[in-house]
Amino acid sequence: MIQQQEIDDACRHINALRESIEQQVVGQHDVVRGVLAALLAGGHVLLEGVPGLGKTLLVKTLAQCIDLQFSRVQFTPDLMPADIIGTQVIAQSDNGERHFTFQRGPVFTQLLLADEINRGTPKTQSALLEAMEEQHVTAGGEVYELQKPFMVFATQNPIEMEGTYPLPEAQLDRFMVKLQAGYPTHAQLSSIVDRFTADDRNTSPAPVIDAATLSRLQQLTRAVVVAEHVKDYALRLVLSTHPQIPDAPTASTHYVRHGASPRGALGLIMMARAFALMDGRINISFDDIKNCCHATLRHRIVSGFEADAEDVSTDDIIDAIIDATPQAGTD
Amino acid sequence: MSTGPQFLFRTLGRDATDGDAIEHLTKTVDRLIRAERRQSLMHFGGAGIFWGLITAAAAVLISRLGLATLPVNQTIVLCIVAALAASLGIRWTNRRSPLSVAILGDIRLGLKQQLSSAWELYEQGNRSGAAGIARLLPRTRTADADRVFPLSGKGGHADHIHAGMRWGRLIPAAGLLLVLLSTLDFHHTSGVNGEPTDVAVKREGTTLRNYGESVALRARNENLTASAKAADAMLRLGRKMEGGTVTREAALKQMDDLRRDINNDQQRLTSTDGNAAGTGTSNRKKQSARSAARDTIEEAANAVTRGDATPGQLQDDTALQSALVSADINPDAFRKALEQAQDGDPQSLEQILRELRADAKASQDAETLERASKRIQGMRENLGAEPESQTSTQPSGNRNAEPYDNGTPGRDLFDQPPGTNGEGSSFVFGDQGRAGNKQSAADTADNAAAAATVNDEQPHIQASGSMTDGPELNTQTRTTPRQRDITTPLHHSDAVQQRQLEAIMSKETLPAHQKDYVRRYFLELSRAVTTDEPPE
Repeated sequence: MIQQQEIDDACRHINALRESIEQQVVGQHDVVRGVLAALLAGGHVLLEGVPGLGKTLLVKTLAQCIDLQFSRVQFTPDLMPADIIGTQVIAQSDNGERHFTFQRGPVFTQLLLADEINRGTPKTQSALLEAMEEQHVTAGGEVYELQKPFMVFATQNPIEMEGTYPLPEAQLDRFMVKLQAGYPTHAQLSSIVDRFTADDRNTSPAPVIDAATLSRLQQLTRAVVVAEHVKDYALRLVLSTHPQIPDAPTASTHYVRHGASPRGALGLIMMARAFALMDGRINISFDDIKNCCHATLRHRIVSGFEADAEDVSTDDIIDAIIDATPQAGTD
Repeated sequence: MSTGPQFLFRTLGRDATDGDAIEHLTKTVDRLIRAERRQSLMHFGGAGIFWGLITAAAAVLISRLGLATLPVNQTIVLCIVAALAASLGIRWTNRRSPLSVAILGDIRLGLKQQLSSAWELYEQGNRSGAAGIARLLPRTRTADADRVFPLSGKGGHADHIHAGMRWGRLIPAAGLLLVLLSTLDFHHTSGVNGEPTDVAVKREGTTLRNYGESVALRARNENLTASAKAADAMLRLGRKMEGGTVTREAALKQMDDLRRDINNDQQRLTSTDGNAAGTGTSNRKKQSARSAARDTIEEAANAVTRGDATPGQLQDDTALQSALVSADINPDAFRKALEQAQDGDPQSLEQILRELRADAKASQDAETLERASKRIQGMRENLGAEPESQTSTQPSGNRNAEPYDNGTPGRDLFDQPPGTNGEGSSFVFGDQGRAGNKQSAADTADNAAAAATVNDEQPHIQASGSMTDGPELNTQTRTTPRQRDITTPLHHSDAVQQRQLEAIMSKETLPAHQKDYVRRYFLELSRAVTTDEPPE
């Protein structure tokens, strides 16, 4: 059982990490909070936003604040899977013998930034499937384990259609959360201008936590208590995204083609746990579930023609589902 | 839904022991459970009373419309008690578990599911886990628990006001509806005592049939031909009325016809009595007197026939002489007949005795018919017929106190042996809907004292009114008869009356002090017997 002291320590580390990130990234508090929660939950993050909102900066800063191995892959249409995973190359030993050896790609890291992932071809995008889900890579008939923790932070631009390849559902499902970066406010924009146009531009931040600490935080996150009725609420929310189930909300039956997968339920609970831990609580609440509902379900719901025709986003659908799903004790 | 913490009390603190934290947790949940029980009892209790009143109102309406026969007071009580019991039963089966109470407490106090999560761990036996959460749980007071489960709309969350609060406003309205329905009488739909007409007709039909059976039995046993004929007619009409095929008006008319036939037969029996001069009541009196004197005269005749006495000896027997005068027999003619019988010619004596016996039977027959006529008149009045005039020879009784009337069945409760003309008083505590019980008791009493005769000429004192609580009280009494009218010793009738009295009092909802009053009266009668003085 979690001790209060552990909670206090975790909150201290998380706050330090957040402050360190927010020294580099102006605004985007919800995104930062979501990224930190995903970090604690050990899930992969898909950051979506128009160019220039600091997505890449956020991930780079996060990598610098955590003493973890970091790699960045800029996805382009001509990027090949071997460019990510690695490839067999001919090597010559000291005695002159030649043999194939596996040259590890950038995926062999702990924090992988897949920048503009939707600009890579589906073939290349799929190269990450195994690594993201099973934390290992298979090349030349051999399995190579990845270091832990291993997390993928991918960014994508939602408005650039030319030369982009939307991520397939299987790929999307492997991201625990999809966070949407919004435009900064006037004050935030002013702060950005001031900070990034000054001569003494701040250098990279110092690491705040190490891998061991992160691992302990992740274990602590998994120990956060989930009461049965709260879990039941989360599961009912996930199931309500399926139009086929009996008593599905109208929003699902009208607008949804495919609902969230079981990974959605896992992600929902883990993210809620992380949120509770970040708030210094040992248990998750209904509000935690609702707060992370959009991030964990929006990329897992496949909307139908009606939703496109009526300009109903998945976030709107999720809002309707939350409204239609009663919590225990309120029905 | 969560409105955030409504209180800012400190928590136990991080240094609290597991035991303290668990105690804090259990106390918090206990407070909430108590508040929830108070609220749900209010809710379900209120709902039970409300629906009980509504059901009772519906039952009263059904009864008023004549769709069913329901004893109103008992039905109201039964409906309310049943609805209350059902409501509390539903509350018991749907009672909230401590965990669900904790969940509600979390939501309504904005505790971020700390209470329910801790309680769940506690129920699972994970005390350290529960204690870990409970340490951060704010202290709650009873007032906070009452805010979660408010007993009134004031002070609680507007969206959490329990539905039970509404019953408080609905109950008076339902009660008012019930009172209105209980007091309203729909025109032409109710008979006497608030009963529907067809029900009253059926009830009186049952009474008539029962009475006809008892008359038929007596007529068969005692070979009373006119009574047997009347009994058959009563049985037929009673069955018709019971079958519900007769309207009230038709029933009243047929009962009137039947009564007229019975009266005619009675008149015929009285007037065909050869030895009795005059008509009507005087003939009936003479018949009764001859019937009463018959035993004495027969005994004397037997004594002479056996040789135990001579006509000369009997001439000095004052009882016999009195009996002869009562029987309107010439003492000289009787002595002559005795002498002829002593000489071996009993024809004259047998003739006299035959006439006496015929008179007795005719008297009995006429008496039975007279009683039947009065009984039918009582039934007619129960169906709303106009009572006979108070100045008539057959005074009618109060509808609600029908057993009192000489012509109604209830009079038989106090029927007395022949000759005990109208002595004593009768006490009837009228209550709507109990007429049938009274009738049954009346029939029983009637069979026990079938040969009663009634002096209807006694003055009446009638008092009626209502008490502040309890049933309506109607008391009718008659003055103590003049001593010279008493022809039968009181002790002959006292025991029977007391038995009947106790039987009827055990069935009546009579206040205890009234029962004592009645008992004291009969005790006084007993004392009067021992002192051989009439009661005051």
